[in-house]
Amino acid sequence: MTSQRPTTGRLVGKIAGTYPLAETYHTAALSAEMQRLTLQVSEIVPEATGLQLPGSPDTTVIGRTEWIERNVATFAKLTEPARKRLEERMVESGPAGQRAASMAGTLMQAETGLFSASFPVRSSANTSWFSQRVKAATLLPTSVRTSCRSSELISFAPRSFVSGWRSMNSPTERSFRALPG
Amino acid sequence: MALHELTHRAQFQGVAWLRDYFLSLVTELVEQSAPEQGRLVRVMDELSQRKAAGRPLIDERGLFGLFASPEQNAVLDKVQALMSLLEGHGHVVMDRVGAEHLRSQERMSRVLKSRRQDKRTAAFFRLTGLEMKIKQYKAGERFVLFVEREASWETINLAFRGASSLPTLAEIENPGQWLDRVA
Repeated sequence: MTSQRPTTGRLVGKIAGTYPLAETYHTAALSAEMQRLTLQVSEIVPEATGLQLPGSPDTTVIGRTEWIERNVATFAKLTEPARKRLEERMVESGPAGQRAASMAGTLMQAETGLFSASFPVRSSANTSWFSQRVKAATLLPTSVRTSCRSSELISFAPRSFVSGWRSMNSPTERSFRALPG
Repeated sequence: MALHELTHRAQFQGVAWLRDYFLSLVTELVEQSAPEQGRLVRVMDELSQRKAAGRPLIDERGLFGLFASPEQNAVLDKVQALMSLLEGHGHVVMDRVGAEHLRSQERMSRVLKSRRQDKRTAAFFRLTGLEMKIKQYKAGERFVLFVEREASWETINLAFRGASSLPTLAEIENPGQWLDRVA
């Protein structure tokens, strides 16, 4: 699902701020340096760990916001089958469940977004089996591309996040009473 | 950075079963995300208990941990144990190999640590649960260094034999228990 609405990544990206030298010569220099380092490190890691490192990883340097967006998108892609199963169960429970189903999608993505923010490593590790690429550490100014393309980004409006979160934790929880126990 | 991330790549591509195991935990966690009746009451109770016990209202698991159901928290423990091992392993490899190959390794390590100690950053970390990740680094690193000291560097790879060989969260905190069970 592609959307023009602000994504979770953009939202979190605003909080994270922008690297002062983003989109300058420094990014290009870092990108070239990362390519060289990645090849070099590819030979060192198997020796240091005793674990195999198949394939030939490459890297692309991207900004904070894009990195966060890709993390969220990758995690949403991973959890898509589970989200669909959850929605199907809700729809089967009747009209109220159907109303809740659309909300559940939002909640799932909201929780995914939070989970994603809580576990940056989940993408650092799991993206490697989607592509031959790697990503960089959370706290560094730029990072290496993760697997999902921007067209695959799953997003939701901030307003949906707030309303979804509130509904999930509302004392009334009317929408969810029809759910099977 | 490259060392740390490529170590993760080696973990997930060099250990054949790890990808499916990780995905199974993630799926389990997400499938338990059904809206829960009375969640707000449960969360308010939890907050009251934390306040009475003098514990932080939002712990290192962040908002996600606060709102997670007991079942989700049980899965979260498994995820956390796995992540501690992987992060600790990645961190030790990064520091050790980095010290051999990078003149600026010490400075990089110092800068990263000082950023995490900034008050505003610390508050953001706590709210989002990133603090748990920082603790994962530390606990995992302690675990890996203990195993290496008490057994050997190669012994750490026993954890990658299968899911049952992975350390539990309790074993991450007490690596001797894991050595007794697995080595």
